[in-house]
Amino acid sequence: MFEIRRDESGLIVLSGRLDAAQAAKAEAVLAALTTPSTVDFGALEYVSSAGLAVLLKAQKRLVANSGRGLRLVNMNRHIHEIFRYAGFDQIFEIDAHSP
Amino acid sequence: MAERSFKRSFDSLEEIFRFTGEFFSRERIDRSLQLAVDLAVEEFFTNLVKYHPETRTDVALSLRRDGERLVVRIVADEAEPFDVTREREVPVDGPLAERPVGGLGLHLARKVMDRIDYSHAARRGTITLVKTIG
Repeated sequence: MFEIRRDESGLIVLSGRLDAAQAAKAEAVLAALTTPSTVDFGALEYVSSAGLAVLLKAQKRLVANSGRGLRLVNMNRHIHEIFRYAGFDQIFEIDAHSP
Repeated sequence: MAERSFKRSFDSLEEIFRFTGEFFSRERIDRSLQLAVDLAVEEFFTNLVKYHPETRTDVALSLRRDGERLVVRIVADEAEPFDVTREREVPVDGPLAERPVGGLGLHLARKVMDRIDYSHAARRGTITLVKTIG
């Protein structure tokens, strides 16, 4: 089960498992962003390359448009490791900690 | 040993993760390792869905504990060999604008598994993944 929602402050909140079957759901929300935003990973358990691809696409568009992109917060250790393996720690602002 | 077949569809992923979850619970293997195994299985399974759209046969997935190793096999009908372990890797460094979108699956699977092998015989491809669980 994967959920993505935008709260009243504009924070994007992810939860569950972001896999290839759920990537389109994430993309629908991320593609609508027009300004740099913060994404809360605190309740996200899992991400695969399909999930990384939709985040990268949003990051490229936002940075190209405004010079700033997504800030990723509350990432668990496993997902932070996947981001590092993908080299995404160099192209996203990440505030990670173990929940 | 646990074995099950899954339809070639992204929609099978939920069922696949339930299957691996049941195996990890039954064998009492550290759940953090399940996330690594799920990742590698998803990357190869979704490649079989994406790159063999003409093939309708199910994909067989088996999990076997062999001492301190977990051996995962993904078996699929393939007319021609398609060695997943020899796919070109995408760059994981460099500036944002030069990063390609997609293509990270094999790289991530290599990072999270200890060994990945491919074999092909009698129009059937077998991907074998090994993860140390001891």
